[in-house]
Amino acid sequence: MLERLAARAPVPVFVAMGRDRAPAVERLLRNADIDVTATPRHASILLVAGRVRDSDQAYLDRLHDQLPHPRATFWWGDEQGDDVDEARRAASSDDPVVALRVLYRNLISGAHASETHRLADEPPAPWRGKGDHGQGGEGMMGGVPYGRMMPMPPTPDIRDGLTLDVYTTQIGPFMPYWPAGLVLEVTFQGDVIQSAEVVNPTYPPRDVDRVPFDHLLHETTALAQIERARAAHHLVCIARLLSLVGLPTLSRRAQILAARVRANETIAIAPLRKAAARSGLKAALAPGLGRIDDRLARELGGPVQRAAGHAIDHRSDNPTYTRLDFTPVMQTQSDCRARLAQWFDEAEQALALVSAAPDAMIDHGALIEAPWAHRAPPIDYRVTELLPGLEWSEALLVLNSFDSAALCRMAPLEAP
Amino acid sequence: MSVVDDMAFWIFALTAIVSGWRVFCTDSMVRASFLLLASFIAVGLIMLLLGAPYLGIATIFMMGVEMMVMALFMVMYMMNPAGLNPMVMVHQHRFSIGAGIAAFVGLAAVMLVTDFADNPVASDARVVTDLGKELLGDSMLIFETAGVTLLATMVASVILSSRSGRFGPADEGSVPPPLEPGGQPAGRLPEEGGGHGHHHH
Amino acid sequence: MTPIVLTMTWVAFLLGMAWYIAVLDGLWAAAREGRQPRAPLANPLYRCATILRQQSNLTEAPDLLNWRLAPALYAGLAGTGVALVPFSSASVLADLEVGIVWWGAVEALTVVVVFLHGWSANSQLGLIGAYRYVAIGLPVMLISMFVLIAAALPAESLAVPKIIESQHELWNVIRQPLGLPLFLLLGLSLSFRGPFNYADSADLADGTASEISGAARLVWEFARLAMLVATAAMAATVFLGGYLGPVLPGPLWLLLKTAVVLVLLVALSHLFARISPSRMLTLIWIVLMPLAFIDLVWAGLVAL
Repeated sequence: MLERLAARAPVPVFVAMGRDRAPAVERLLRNADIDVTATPRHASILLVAGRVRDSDQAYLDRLHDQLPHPRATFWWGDEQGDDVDEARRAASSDDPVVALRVLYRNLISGAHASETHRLADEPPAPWRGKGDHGQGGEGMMGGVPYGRMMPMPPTPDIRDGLTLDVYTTQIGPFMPYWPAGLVLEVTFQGDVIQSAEVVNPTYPPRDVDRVPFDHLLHETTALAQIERARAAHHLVCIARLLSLVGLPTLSRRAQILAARVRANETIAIAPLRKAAARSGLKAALAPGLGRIDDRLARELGGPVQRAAGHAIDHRSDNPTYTRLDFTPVMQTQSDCRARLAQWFDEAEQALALVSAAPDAMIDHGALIEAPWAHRAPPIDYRVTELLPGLEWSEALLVLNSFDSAALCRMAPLEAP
Repeated sequence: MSVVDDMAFWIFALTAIVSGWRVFCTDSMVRASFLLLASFIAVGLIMLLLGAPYLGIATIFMMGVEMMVMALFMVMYMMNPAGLNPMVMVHQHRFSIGAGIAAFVGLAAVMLVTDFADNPVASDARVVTDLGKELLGDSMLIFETAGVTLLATMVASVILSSRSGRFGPADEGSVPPPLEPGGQPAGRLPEEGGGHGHHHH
Repeated sequence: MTPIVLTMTWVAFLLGMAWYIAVLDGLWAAAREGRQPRAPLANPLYRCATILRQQSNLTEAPDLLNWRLAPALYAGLAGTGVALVPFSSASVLADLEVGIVWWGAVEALTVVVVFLHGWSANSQLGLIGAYRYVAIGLPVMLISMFVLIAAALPAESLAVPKIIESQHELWNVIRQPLGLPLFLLLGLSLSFRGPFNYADSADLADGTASEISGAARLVWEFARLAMLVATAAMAATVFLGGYLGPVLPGPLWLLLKTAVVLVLLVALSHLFARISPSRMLTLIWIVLMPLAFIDLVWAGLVAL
């Protein structure tokens, strides 16, 4: 009875985002048959989407062992899964929803055995406590529970003589709303980030919306295709932010719009924008939150640069666009709000261009502005400078106010 | 008193004593606070049994908030990240043992020598109304004066002690602390109308 | 009603209304996303079965007692909250002389229980959710106590049935227009939904619930719904006259009013974005708290 009911529920899936799979995974987010969970503890299937770095395998194993029984791993991608059976993998071009449903049904009926622990079930560091309660330290002080160092600052705080403690932990690489692959060692004071250090860089983004732009390199491409890809890319970015401020339904709506744009349907973004504004999105993104300096904005380029007030857009120099009276849109404040408004503006402008010139073609090799940050390699990496001083929820908002290409450029890149 | 009432009394009394004792045996500030809360809740329920509903439930209500705030402040000002590390909850052993014995003997003596009134209140007496009349009637001046004085003392002592506190001079408005000693204030600055204090230059 | 019937009504009310909220949530989401709802009536049951089918798990060195107890206590508090609500003039499960104070205790202990749930799992995101929830939950609780005391003034009693009786001529929602809106915020805060979801939010990977699975999670999720039911029933009783109403029998009126308040609460939880905790604190202390004071002073002046 329980099995029969459970089999009809949306499949609880936790997504470990590997390389290349981000846009495809967003497709799962809007499927009502799939429940993409925020934590592995709530999932029955661990979906590994794309290739995972060798150095991230240990993180993946830890993630896997956090799934409650019955559990299974599902591989989605081309490189992986040669040694796993058919039921637990899908090629990157396939839609895995049906396979996931079947796997889930078999999992809860017992036809598919639950996976065992990959790691030994023991503390990562042995107990080294001493004292009355194993607290390790002297008197009332904490100590070294489980062999971990007491995270105390080296000197008393000169502000008032109190030695307040900090808390250091690693975050990533498979955290939701976190750049895929990025591992940061974050030091917290309460829920304010005091410092952050990059342990592992982000995966280089490879976007489904990149296709028409790659296409353009060697073939004449329709303007409509280029601009639709731009709108879709921005809508997906918008969806992430909407979800973070507690508007999951609007976020899904943005996802659905993105999918419809890609499927060449005619859509309007204004209703979504209006609904988001009515929900108090402005209040949720405080003015000045995530403001970046001019140099960083210029280094990153793309919509981030235009949100900082620089009307630099390769489309201004293209005859197809100039015939349509194209002028780049821009904001001035260069903060989270400005970047969100820039995405909305550019997506709306892109769709307006599509409807103004549905048949226009762009010659191959033409230099067309990509929807993401695209400039030459940055001088220094700034993601760790962006976060200190931010409260945790604000930090996530700031991170997600950049497109994945921009984020990738703010942390040292891994070797290709 | 019915058998059920008797049983409830003994269960609550035992809970109050055992959880009160465990406060000193646990190894965590948070656990200690909430064990104390459990003890107070048991006492509040006994007051309910005694036919003092307002006092009993108000005890539970007030202690819930109080212990929560206390746990929070203890963790905040104790050098123990988030109250997660185990630690010893007792110190000054010799003095506290002495004080404990003295208090126990004193209270027990009071209990034994006092001639407690045996004057049951009628079951239909409007105890809550009477209590309200007492608190806000004849004794109102005393209670209100004491209450307002206490509140004023607390506010004043906070203001005085935080004049040069972690959050900057008290008379210049609250400023979040910097992340490093002597650094720029981190986090949100209220007077900027929600602007953010962390900028790159 | 006999005690047995009353207890059964109480259980049915809690379970039925919790299911009703889950259905409303599903319908609302589908409508806002512009798609067909997925088995709207049965989906909550499917999800229950899914959660129940999952095994309970352990973290490294949790405070097991508090961790396991917290969901049950939370559900229990919601249950005692609903028990205060009279289904009709003669049928109330917990007929307390000081019902309003008891409700205050329910609110205070809810903050404690949610904190303990996040703290005891020994995991950083749950811990952040726990501390953040205390900061937001305590002042919201103060606000609700002010408006409840204001509602008790015309009745000259702290007993919930007396407060209903005082609304024969005029409901409190009209007499004290600030009361109900402020009290609804408490509902969102006690069950941490939508704009008040500071405990189990998306940025914390479900916060205090991020480490639980299986039966404990089912109880926790049910308790969140049940707490919303309790606040809605309380709001319907204190501000909308509870079981009072023409033609239809009393319990039905209470059911209808609670259902309407729940629609409002579900709409509020989906309609508004969550602002950062520090801004929310400013909003609560600078704007909402004075509003609650005004409500109380207003009620006092009217009562004079």
